[in-house]
Amino acid sequence: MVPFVGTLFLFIFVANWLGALVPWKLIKLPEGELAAPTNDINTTVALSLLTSISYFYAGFKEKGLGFFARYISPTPIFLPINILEDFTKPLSLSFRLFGNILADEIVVSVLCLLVPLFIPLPVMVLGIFASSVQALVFATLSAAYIGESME
Amino acid sequence: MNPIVSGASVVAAGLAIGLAAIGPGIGQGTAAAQAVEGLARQPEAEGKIRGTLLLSLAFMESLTIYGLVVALCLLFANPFAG
Repeated sequence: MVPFVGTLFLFIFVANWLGALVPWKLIKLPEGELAAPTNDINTTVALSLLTSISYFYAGFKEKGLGFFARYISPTPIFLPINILEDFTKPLSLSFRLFGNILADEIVVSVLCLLVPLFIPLPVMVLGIFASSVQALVFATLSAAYIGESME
Repeated sequence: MNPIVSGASVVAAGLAIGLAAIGPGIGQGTAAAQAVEGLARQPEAEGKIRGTLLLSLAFMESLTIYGLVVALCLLFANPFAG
């Protein structure tokens, strides 16, 4: 579990910071443009599906078929809520990361369009800070979900 | 695109992000207030308080981000266009 969470954190952290700091505009592609990999919903959904698969796997390895008992805890009335939680966990993880990175990129590009030189700088600093916090939050939540399914 | 659909999408995008910023704004303000009070009461716990505060702020921020994602989807990847 620990190497997985560490890899997640490092990947997201380096991806966000590279997307924000390196001048990708210098490399001209025939179509499309280069930016942070996490500004596409597909990347973040892939990462959160990895987390989802790994907490199912961890639960099965620890408890075998008794894993399904967690759907009926604490009371059987919670069954639809617990099933829904299986879908909303990866959804919220992916949207949180995607929204933060894409929103910062859009704000920086719109500000650069309007007032080029100094005004986008505070937003870029906020983006750097927020993207590192988001990497930490993603990794912490993944560790929390995996730990919760193992006990 | 049908003009009614595009007009409605623009209004909906504005409302989505606008209303989504209210709740988490209040929540984050309350969290920061309690964190500052705890810091004033016990200044040597600064490291733990700061770490917990930042983590909680990120969770509340994500609720606003959900609204932003809906607004961006309506503007740039509208399912009802054409």
